[in-house]
Amino acid sequence: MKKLEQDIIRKLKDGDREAFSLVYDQYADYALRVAYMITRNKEMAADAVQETFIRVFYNIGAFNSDKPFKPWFYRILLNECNRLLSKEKKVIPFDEVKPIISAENNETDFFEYDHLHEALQQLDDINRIPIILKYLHDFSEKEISETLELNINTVKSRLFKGRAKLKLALSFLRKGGNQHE
Amino acid sequence: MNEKEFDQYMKDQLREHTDEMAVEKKRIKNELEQILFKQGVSRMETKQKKGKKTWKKTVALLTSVAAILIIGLALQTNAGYAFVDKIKAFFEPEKEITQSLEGQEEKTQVELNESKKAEYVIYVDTERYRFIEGQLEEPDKIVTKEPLEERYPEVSMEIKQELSLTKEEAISQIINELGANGFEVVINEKVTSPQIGQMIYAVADLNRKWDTPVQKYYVIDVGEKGVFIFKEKFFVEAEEGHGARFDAMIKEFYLKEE
Repeated sequence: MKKLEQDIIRKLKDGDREAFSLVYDQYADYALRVAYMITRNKEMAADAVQETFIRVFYNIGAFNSDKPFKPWFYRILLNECNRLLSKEKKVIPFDEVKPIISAENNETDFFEYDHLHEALQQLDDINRIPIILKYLHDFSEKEISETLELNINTVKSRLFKGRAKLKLALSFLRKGGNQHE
Repeated sequence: MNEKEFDQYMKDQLREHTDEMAVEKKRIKNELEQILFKQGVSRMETKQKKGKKTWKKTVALLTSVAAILIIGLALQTNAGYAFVDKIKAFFEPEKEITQSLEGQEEKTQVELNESKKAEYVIYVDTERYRFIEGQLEEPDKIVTKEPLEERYPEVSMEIKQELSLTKEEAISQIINELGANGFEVVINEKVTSPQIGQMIYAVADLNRKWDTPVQKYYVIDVGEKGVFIFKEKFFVEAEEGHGARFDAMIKEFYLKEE
């Protein structure tokens, strides 16, 4: 961990408000994006992020400052997303999943993202979550392995297979074929 | 698409389609700061006391108290914007309103929401909707609590204060915008309810179907503070549902005065 980040974490352990603010500013943006992609629900994503920062604040004492903060933080976030999803029993059948599409998108973009969204939803979580972390937040394979507490080779394999499945699903969708495998 | 292009495509698409979550960042931070750093409360005490419902009530109570302090009880009704007289009322954090929906009277619980940048408060039916405060130039927005199925057109209501526009300028701008977006203006008239102002009702297609998009605007003149523009978006079949509920919320819109 970089010295600057170590200093901030040390202050956060003392309950420092400014340190909390700095950590929030640095992590909140992508935490919200990742939570949104995982839960597919804006409100739930916002709740997950809020609860994550509360948990970080109260449990930062248990964090080992010799280790990187980012995987620790995202482990809490993913657990929080899963907790909320199971609490709300949001087991969403694939055909009921709503694409996350902003109103500003033009027709072409909509078309493309619609397919990507559908293709992503076809993936199992073991492939989907590493893909989201990699592409949405530039996680390295090492960071994904630390976050998900997996062997790095397992992560490489899941990313590779996940990407292959995505490409296949996208090809089918672009040709107007059946979206299911 | 080669590997590099695919990677870039994935990054661009996922980021672009999660941009809308940015609006939550400030709100959550404000809430967290209140939860975690309440003055005079230790970290452990706060932890024991923290709880979303308790917090919501506290915010609502503080908001109502602050609003009362700001507006003062001596405010006089102004004929130009009669709705202002309502702000004399105590802003309860929550209250029950009765609204008429599809011919039926319905009692609805509403919660106070405050816009920080535009000086107003509005009671929102939080059972069905949520209030999103717009960042910078973006309007505040009330959206359905649960996303609608894809087959439905957008349902939302934007609230924006335009300091530099007159009521006439705002109306002209809205009509031009509707025309440019392919909407047909069906009604453009003065109204006294849900607020005193101008109502503009437009549809995407005069040959309406159940899902034809509707845009309904209210323009309210607030004197030196310009105009407030309410932009409702729903669809034909939702006229008596979401449309009526948005109107009911506009009725519970109050301007704060210094």
